[in-house]
Amino acid sequence: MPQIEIDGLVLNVDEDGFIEDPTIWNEEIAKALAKTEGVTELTEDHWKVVNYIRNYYLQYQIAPMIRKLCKDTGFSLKEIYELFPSGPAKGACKIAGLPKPTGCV
Amino acid sequence: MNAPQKAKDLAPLPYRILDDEEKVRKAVAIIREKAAESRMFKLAMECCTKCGACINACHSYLGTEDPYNIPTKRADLVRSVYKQEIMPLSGVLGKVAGGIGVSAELLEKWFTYFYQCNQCRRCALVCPFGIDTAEVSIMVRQILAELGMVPRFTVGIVKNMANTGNNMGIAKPALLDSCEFLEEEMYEETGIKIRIPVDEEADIMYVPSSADFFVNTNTMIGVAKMYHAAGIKWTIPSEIIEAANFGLFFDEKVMKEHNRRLLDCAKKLKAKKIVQGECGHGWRAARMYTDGLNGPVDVEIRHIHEEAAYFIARGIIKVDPEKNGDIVYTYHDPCNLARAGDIIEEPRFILRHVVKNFVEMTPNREENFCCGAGSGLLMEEIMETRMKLGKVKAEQVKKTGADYVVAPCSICKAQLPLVFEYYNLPVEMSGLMDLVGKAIIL
Amino acid sequence: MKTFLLVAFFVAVAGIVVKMAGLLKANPPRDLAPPRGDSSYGVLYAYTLGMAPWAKESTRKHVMPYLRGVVFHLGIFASFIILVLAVFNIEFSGLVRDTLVVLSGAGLLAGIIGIIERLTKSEMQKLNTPDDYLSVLLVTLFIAGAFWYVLNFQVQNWFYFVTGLMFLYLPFSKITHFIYFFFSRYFFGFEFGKRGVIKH
Repeated sequence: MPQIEIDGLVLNVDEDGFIEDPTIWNEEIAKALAKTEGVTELTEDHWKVVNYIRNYYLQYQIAPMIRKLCKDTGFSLKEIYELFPSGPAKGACKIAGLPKPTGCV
Repeated sequence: MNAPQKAKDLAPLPYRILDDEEKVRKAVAIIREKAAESRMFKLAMECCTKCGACINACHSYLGTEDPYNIPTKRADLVRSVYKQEIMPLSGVLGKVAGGIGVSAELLEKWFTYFYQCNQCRRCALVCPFGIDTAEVSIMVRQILAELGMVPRFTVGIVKNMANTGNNMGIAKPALLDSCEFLEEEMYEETGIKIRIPVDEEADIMYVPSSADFFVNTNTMIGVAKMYHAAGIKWTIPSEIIEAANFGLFFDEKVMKEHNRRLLDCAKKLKAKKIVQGECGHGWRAARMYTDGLNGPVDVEIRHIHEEAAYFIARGIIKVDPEKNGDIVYTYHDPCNLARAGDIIEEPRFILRHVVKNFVEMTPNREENFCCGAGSGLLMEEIMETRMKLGKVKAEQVKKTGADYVVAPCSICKAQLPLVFEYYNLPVEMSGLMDLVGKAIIL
Repeated sequence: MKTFLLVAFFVAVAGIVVKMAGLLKANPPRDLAPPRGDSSYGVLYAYTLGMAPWAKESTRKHVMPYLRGVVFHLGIFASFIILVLAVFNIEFSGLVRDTLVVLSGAGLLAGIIGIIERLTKSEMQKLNTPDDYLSVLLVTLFIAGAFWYVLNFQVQNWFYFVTGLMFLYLPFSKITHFIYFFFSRYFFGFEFGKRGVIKH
């Protein structure tokens, strides 16, 4: 299993860099993962998206529909891409400690 | 990277990882068996005269310029083993015919190049013998699976499918939440209560693509609006919200298990008709294989475009093309609809009714080029290859001058926006039911 | 030389019989799916219109190689007629002979061009195995022998010799495609017809 080390934090991740065990997630890990997705600083807006995805995942064990994510956070898809350059499915979900969304996406 | 990452853990597939020696031994045994038992395989191996007709017909070769992606050269990776194994005096005559023995390196080559074939069947159309290299590709991926060589991405999907009944891994509570949200969205837009019924007994069981509950939500909305307008009771089976059947690409057992699930759900919900959503290969797997692999089927299997075309033609639903604006639309034929499933004219009929300006791309229909992700090549780690596989498609779209590409297949929908961005094409893309949903008069 | 030809001919026939037996023994594709189109029309199409130059993108785009192939194969058919006429001592002259001269001559030219193309086109070189050269070379020699023979009946032995060489190698080569062709086309037409891709 690959490991990554960011700022002294050692994480077990899958081949795409998503954390292997979503339950260990915390804010420190989110900050560390953000750096791997080109997000240098997690602002309030970032946290709004990350926390939304995280809470949805805890309730439903899956990422929310992109459309629902946009509506409930009040960000347009374009704004989400500005916050997370690699997009909601890859960047935001990774930082929120979800497994990588898979399938025809 | 050229080849997808291989899965280290194959569960729930009934195969295991083999060491090199075992792999080679097993590969030889399987090839010998196929050479004796499969007429299709023998023909594909024996017929080819290397005339070269397939060279420039294959988007994989045109995009990657790698000679192993010439359909016949790709098949040669297996043909060389076949010739070596069946030829008398194989040391001499086998070598003359291009024969080589199986080695671990050769098997790696199989894995690399048979996962750069989109199984689009375009080469079969131009071949003077009609050799269908997609069939060779499907067969080789099956052999590779039996040797324990399967992409990690594919195993992940099989796992999700086994656990939840869809590729994404959406469990029922999440599905219900998503449907409720989409119902609210439709109510906000139209002021009408349009339902997306889940697990209710109905004549029509609609099988969407699970990606419709993540990114392609407008496809789902289009379908819901259409059945609402037609006044027909329908339902979605929570146990299989997946039209895609990745088994078709690499493993018959997986395909069969998927089809079994499909038919069981239809029985449970007392459906008379299974309607397949916007998925290319899933249509072929359900329509062409359900009967063959899973025994006689007493339920009708239809495609959502057949339904929509029927409703429009009979005036059961009304559509207004004005609602989709003045922009120019073009249509991308998903390979498995156009070259393997005969959903060719229905989407065009629908499109002419729901948009004002529609132009064909060239070539089209059964001669259309693949998006470059067909046969499930959606792995992130082969992105560079995927973009090369999408090159011909990008050129085709560019030539049309269209603003909007309609691509009714979830694999195409996942691949094309990336291709358009990579080749700097400012075009939008969506499914076809999305546009039906926008044009429909409720 | 006629004995050599005869032996070689029987080798070829025996080889083909063995190969066909193997093919027929193997299981046909297992496809119990309900048809969506007309498989018999597909088969009819595959043997007829499907071979027309406009039917396939490959032939539409590459008319010259297509015509070269047609001329080459006509040359082969003519050469076989010449062989039969020679073996059975049937005399021929006038228009028949002229036609055979033209067909085998053109076929020979097409064969030579084919070899040159195979040797020079970079894309073709990526595909070639020794058999691809050997098969086309032996068949071209056969046409050359036939052509020479119709011009000059004295060279019968040379004609038989090159024909015998071709027969001996035939079962081990891609030349067997002349018989596999009919099976392969059948399945193509059947499957694509059944799927509704080839239709009226």
